[in-house]
Amino acid sequence: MSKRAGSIGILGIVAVIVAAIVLAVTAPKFPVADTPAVPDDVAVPPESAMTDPSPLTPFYRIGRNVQGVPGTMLREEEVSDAPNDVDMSRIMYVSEDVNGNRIPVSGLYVTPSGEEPEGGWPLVAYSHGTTGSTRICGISQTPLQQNTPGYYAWSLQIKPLVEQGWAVVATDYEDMGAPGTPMYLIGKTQGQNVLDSVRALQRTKTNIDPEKTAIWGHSEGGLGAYATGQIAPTYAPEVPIAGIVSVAPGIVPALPFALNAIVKDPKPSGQTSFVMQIVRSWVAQFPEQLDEETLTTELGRTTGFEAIETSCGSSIKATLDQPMGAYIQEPLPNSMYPLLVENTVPETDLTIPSLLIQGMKDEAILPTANIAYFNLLCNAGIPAELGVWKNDSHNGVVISARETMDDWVADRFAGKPAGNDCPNQ
Amino acid sequence: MLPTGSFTAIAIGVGLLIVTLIATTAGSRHRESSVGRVTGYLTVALAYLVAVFAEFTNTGMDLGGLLLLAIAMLIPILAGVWGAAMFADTGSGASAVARRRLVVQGGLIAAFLLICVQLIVAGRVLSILGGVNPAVASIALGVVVSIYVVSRGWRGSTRTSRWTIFFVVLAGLVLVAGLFLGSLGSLVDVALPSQGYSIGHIIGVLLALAALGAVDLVLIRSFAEAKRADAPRRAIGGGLLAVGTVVALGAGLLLFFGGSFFAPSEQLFTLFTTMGAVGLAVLCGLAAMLLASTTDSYLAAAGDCVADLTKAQDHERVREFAVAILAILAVVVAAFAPPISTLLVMGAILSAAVLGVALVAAPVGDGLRVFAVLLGVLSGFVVAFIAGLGETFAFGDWSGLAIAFAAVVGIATVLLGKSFSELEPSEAAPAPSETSA
Repeated sequence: MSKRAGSIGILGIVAVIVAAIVLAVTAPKFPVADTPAVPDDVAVPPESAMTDPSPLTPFYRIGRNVQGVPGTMLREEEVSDAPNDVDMSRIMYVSEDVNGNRIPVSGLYVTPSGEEPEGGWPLVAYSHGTTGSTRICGISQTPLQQNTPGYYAWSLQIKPLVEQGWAVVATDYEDMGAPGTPMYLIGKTQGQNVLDSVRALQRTKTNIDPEKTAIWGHSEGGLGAYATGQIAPTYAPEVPIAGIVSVAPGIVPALPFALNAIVKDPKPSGQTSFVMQIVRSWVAQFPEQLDEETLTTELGRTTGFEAIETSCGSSIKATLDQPMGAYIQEPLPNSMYPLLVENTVPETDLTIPSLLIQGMKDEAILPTANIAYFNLLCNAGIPAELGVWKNDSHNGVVISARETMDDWVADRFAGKPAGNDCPNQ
Repeated sequence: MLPTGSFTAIAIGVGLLIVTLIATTAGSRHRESSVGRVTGYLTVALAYLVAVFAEFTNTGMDLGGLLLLAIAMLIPILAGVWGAAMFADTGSGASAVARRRLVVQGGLIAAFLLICVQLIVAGRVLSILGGVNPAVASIALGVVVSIYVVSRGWRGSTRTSRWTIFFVVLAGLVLVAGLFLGSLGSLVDVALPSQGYSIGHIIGVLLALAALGAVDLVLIRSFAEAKRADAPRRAIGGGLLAVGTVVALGAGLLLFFGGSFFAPSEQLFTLFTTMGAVGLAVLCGLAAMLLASTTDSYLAAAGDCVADLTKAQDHERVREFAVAILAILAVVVAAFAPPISTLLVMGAILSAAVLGVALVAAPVGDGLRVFAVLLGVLSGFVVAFIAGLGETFAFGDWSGLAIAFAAVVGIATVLLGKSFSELEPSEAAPAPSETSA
C-alpha cells in the first residue's frame, strides 16, 4: 500500500468515527419518561374496578332499525344525580355499523357546569377502552355508580378531561347500551360511532365550539381514536378534528406464529377475555369469514360466551380462568388475519395530528405493536408524536401521561402546530 | 422497544469501520486479481434487489411473488452479460467504438442513479429502524464509502463484496427460523393474501431492470478488467448465489409471516420493535455494511469510467476526483430523498434509449447518436407523462411502454438519420475518433 493510499485509509477511519458521532448527535430523541410506575391500586382504585354490570333502564329500549342520517339525535336524558360542577346527560343517536347499516348508539355527554366560554366548550370525543362487549357494559348507564364500567370511565378518564374545561361526549359503541350486533375491536365501527356522537351534539347543542373537537381514546378506544381520525375526512368531513390522543391502543399485528403461540400458552392469561370478546363479536359481524364452531371449543361457546354476555370488565377475566386453549381452537383460521388487519390496524393515511402514549410495562396489549404502528405512520410520511412511559402499565400510563396529554390537546385547541417525533421526517 | 440513535450510531460506525478496514487493507496486487469474483457479482444483484424490493413487497409478496423477485434479480445480470457480449464483439471500427462508448456513458449515468438509490435506501432504512437522521445517514455512508473508494478504488470495492457472503449465512438462518416457527403449508394456504401487482407493473419493473442491467457499469468494467473468458459465467454464478440467498431469506420470511410478506406493514415493524434497541442497532450495522458494499462497486466503476472517458494522463488523480464529485452529487440527491421509483424509471428510460441507439450498427456521427438518445429519452418521458406517470414517474401499468418507446425512438432516429446521410453523401457524418471505453 502506498503512503498516500495509507493516509487516505486513515482518513476513512477518521471519517467513520466522525460519521458515528454525527449520527449519534443528530439522532432525534424519543420522549421517554423514566418516572416511577403508578401503582395498580392508584391506576384503578378499588371503587373504579369494573366488577359489576350496568343495568339497562327504559332509556335504552329501542328497536334495532332506526331512521335518520348518521348523527341524528334520537333521545336525551339528564343524569339526575350528577355532581354540581358538571352537567351530564345520556344521549342516543343514529350511527352506522361496519356494513353501513343505520343503528342506534348511546353515549354520555358531560360539560362543566356554568356558562360556556365564548364560542362554546371545546369538545373531546372520548373513545372508551374495554369494559366488556354487551349492552350491560356501556359507560353511559351508571357513570356515578362505583364498580361499574360507567364509573371506571367517568372517574378515571372523563372527569379529568371535564376538569380541563372541555365538554366530553363518550360513545358506548354499537350494542353497548342500545341494541345491536356484538361489536368489539372493529375500528371502522368505533370511528363511526365516535364521529356520529359529535355530529349529534353539533346538530342539537349550541354550547359547544364546532371548530374545536379532539379525539381521546384508551386501549380499545385508542384504536377507536386512530380509526376515527382515519375515516373522519371521508365519513364526517364537516367535523374538523384538531387532534387525536391514542393511549395504549389495541392494535393487533396479524402474526400467525405469535397469535397461535398465545393461544397455545398452557398458563391462564388475562388476554383470554379480550380474545374471546373478539371471537364472539367477529363471528357475529363477519359470519361469512368466521365460523364459531371452528374458532372456539365447546367450553368457549358455553362458559366463555356466557361470561361475556352476563358480565363486564374484570368479572369476565375472573370467569375465564382456564388457559386460552380451553376456549379457542388452535391454529386460528387464516380468515382471521385479514380481519385483524382490516379492523385493528387503521390505514396510515392519517391527516390529523396524533399523539401516541404508551407504557412499556403494559401487559394488556403489546407495547411493541403500538410502537410499530407509530413507525408505520412515520414510514408512510405521516407526522406523528409519541410519548413513552418506561415503567407504566396499561392503566397507570393514563395517570402518568395526564399532563402531557392535556397540554397537547389544549395546544391543538389553541391552534398551535403539532410536533413530529418521526426520526425519518 | 424504541430504536436508540446512539446505539444505532455505534453499530453503523462499527459496520462502516469493518468495511473501511476491509477495503483499505486491500493489497496492491494487480487489480485484475481482485475483480471478477462471484461475490462481486453477488453485490451487483443485491444492488438491484435494494432498488426494486419495494416494488415486490408494498402490496404483499407470496411464493409466486418471491419467484418473480428471483427472476427479476437475474434479469440485470443476464442483460449485462448480453450487453457486454453485444458491444464487446462489434469490432474495432469507429462505429463500434462509438457505440461502446455510448453504452458506457449511459451506464455511467445509470450507475450514478443506482448509487443515489442505495444512499436513499440507507437513509430510509437506518432512520426508520435505527432512529437516526435519514439525511445524515445517507451522507455518512456516502462520505465513508467515497473515501475508501478514492483510496483503494476497484480493489477495495471488490474486496468489500466478499464480506457479503455473510448475508448468505444470515438468509439461511432466517429460513431455519421460518421453518421452525411457521409451517410449509402456509406457503400455499396464505394467512394474509397479497394484493398482487398488475401485469403492466411487473413488465415495467422487469423491463427497467433489463435496460439498466444491459448498461450496468460494474458488469461492463469487471468483464473488461477481469479479462477472463469465464467472467460472464461467474457473473451468472454470482447472480444465482444472490437469487438463492434472497429465496432463502424470502422463504424464511414467508414462513415466518404466514405465507406472505408485506413491507412496510404492522407485522414487519412489530417484529423489528420486538428485537429491542440493541437488536435493531445490530441490524442497522449489517444494513450499513450491505449498502456500503452495494454502493462502493458502482462508485469505483463510475470513477474509473470517468477517468477513462476523459483520457487524462494522470488517470489516478482524475479517478479520485471523479469519485469525490460523484459521491458529493449522490449525497446531495440522497439528502433530498426523491422517490426511488422515479430514479429507476428515469434511469431505465435513459438506458433503453442508449441501448436502442447503440444497437444500430450504422456509421453515423456522434451528434446524431446523442440526438437520438435525447429524443428517445424525451419520447419515453412524454409517454410516461401521457400514461399518467408524469407526477412521480412511479412504476405503473404503462411504465414498460415508456421504457420500450424510448428504445424504439432511439433506434428509429438513428436509422432515419442514416437514411438521410445516405441520401446526401456529401453531408455524411464524420467518422468518430477512436476511443476506448
